[in-house]
Amino acid sequence: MTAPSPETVLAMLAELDRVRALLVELVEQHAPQLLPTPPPDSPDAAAAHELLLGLRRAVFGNPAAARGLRDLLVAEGRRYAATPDGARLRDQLAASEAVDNLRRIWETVSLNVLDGPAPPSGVPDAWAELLADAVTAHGLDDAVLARLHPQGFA
Amino acid sequence: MLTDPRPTLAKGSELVNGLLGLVGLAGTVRALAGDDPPRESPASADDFVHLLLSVVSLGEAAAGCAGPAADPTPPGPPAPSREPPDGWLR
Repeated sequence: MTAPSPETVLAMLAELDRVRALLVELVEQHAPQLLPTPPPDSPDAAAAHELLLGLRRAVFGNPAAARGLRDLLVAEGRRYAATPDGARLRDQLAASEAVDNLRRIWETVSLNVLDGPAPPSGVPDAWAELLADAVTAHGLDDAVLARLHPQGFA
Repeated sequence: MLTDPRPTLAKGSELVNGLLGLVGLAGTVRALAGDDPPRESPASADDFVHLLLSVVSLGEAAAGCAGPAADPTPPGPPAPSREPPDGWLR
């Protein structure tokens, strides 16, 4: 059996990426709570909402690449923090309230799916767990569960 | 043979715009740090802080690509004054 030509390999790669994008779209349809609708009657808030939603879709749709990029940037940041200017800036950023707010925004957008362990393929376990929870919980009826929950119990 | 330089120039400007964006982001991150001097017992820096530091590092590297600012004034004798002599106008 002869090896496939470079053109064939590239065509397969392009097709695999198309299939990946279709699957991500399918997952989004089964977990609509991950992509909320924008707030009504506020163009500024709608613009910010679209930006943050785009960031969430980029992270959720490309978890391995997002995790790899994050690891690269963190390593570069640690290298820069070893310099005198970097160490001074690191201490200022660590004490900054504005950075605390920005961190809260990042954690809300990413739902921390890039944190924690990741197998050699690079897709973090937290991403797979979150999407599994979001997709499997979609069909449950909270009203039905609420009737089964006895009053007075936590 | 290059007959229309505009597509090539457009590609170059995307790169320049990207580098400018990095420099701008680095400035924004520095602004987040504020002007206060670091405390004697600083808070511990997590991965998010190091991620922001990398933006500053990359922004400085992008700014370094520009090299020293070019002097727009070419060397040579000073240009003659354009002011007409008062006597000639009278």
